[in-house]
Amino acid sequence: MINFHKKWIKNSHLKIKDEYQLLDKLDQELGDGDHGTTIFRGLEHAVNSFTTIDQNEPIFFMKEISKTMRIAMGGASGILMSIFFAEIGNLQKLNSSILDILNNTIIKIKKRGNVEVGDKSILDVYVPIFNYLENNNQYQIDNLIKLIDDSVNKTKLMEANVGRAKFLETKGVGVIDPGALSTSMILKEFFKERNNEENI
Amino acid sequence: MKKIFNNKANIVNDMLSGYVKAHSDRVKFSEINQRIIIRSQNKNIDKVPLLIGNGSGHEPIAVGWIGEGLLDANIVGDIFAAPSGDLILEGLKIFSDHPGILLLISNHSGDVMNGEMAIELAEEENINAKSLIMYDDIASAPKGKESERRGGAGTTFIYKIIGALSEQSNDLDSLLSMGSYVRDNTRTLSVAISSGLSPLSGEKIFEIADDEIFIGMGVHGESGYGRQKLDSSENLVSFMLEKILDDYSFNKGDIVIPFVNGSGSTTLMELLIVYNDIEKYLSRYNIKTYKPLINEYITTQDSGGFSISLLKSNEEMRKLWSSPSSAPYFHL
Repeated sequence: MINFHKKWIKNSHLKIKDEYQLLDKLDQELGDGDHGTTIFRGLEHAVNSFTTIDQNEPIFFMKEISKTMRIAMGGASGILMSIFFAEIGNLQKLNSSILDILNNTIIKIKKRGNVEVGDKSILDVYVPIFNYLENNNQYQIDNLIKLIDDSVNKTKLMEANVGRAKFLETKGVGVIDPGALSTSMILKEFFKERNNEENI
Repeated sequence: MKKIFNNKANIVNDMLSGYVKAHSDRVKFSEINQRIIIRSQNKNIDKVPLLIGNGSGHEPIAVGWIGEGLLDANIVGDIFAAPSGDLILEGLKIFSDHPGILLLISNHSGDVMNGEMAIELAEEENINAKSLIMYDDIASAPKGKESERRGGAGTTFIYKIIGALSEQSNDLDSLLSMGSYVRDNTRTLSVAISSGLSPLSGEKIFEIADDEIFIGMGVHGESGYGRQKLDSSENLVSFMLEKILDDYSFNKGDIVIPFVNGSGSTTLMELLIVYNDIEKYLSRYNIKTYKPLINEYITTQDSGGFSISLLKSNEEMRKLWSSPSSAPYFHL
């Protein structure tokens, strides 16, 4: 099972490697202009740590990965984005439901980030996915991907209520939240990889 | 981007290395992590150490304020990014034998999340650490919602006064109490006149026209009261002090400690002109001043502008404020 987690993290790393400049550009509008670089650094450290983490159980392995990312990234994005990585260690079988994992991720992001749905954050990706999966036990991967993309695009019109974007004159309206976009990329890689593995 | 460095990825590490080499009589790397800078000579084991974790790019704060009478350690994050809670915990652990530890947290989302996480992790390890969230920027939230305000230059009063008190006291709660009292008596308002370049992107941090100023901008370019046309120092100071005096009861006969902080590329000449106008304005209300701090301390790279902070002081605060400090970059 740990191989699945590794493969997903590697795929996410490659995806962000291709897209980090776009994420940085979006973050220039809303923050420091380094979100892409930061998440890329976090995933790079995560991939590099595969050989040094002496854990084979997903729950312990992913806890170490989460910590590695948190330290490498720092800031609000490091602490919030690493939550899902720790929670996904609870996925023991490929075909297990991830509703509880998503629910715990959402609860922890809300608590740590003092954030709610509609505040223009990564929560605006997690919550729609949770709601969709709760109502669609059997889903088509293409429909899920479309839902994730739509959720990210909706952040464009949202006013930021958290982070530095909250204090911008525009409150970030008109710009997609880079954290939501990077989260969507990582989650899409997760669902795609799970779909591939299940179809083998 | 016109900035001097070797490798973008090593900017923070190279800076810290230079700092520690330059001031090795007073500061050093901790043994556990080179992003944790501590005093060369540890504080007495029966006293409460004072720490903060913060993003870099705002020097000399906070790394430059490590020294006797000020900070015991600074956990240094990447540029404009708070260090992780895990790293802050490592900093707290260094002082686990002391009777208590005070972690200062400037009110910015990443700093708060990671600072609070570090305190929770410390509790799990039975380390007696508490945090004080610092805020003072009146442009970032209205009166009545003070706890939602950003941490600005006025947090300096807390660093210095608590730092001095921590050399005398072994009681964590009394430090917290004094810290809260100083915070509640401090108000800050800033003005931006030009943007610095971000070392991360190489781009300007915010946009502002040549004849414009921005009142209330935060240290990362966050907005506040809005844009105005550039005016004289006297008019600008009057506008800013009016807002500050409207926000808090500074009264006739009060003794305030002023802090005029430059944002990174504001000359001492300009800051002293501003201070002259502050004195003139306050004297009209019979508000007295005590040992002002004037220079560039909380910076955002080469940004132009300044902030005015006022602390309504009592005798104990003034005594602690003016007590000596060995921190390499704090000069009253």
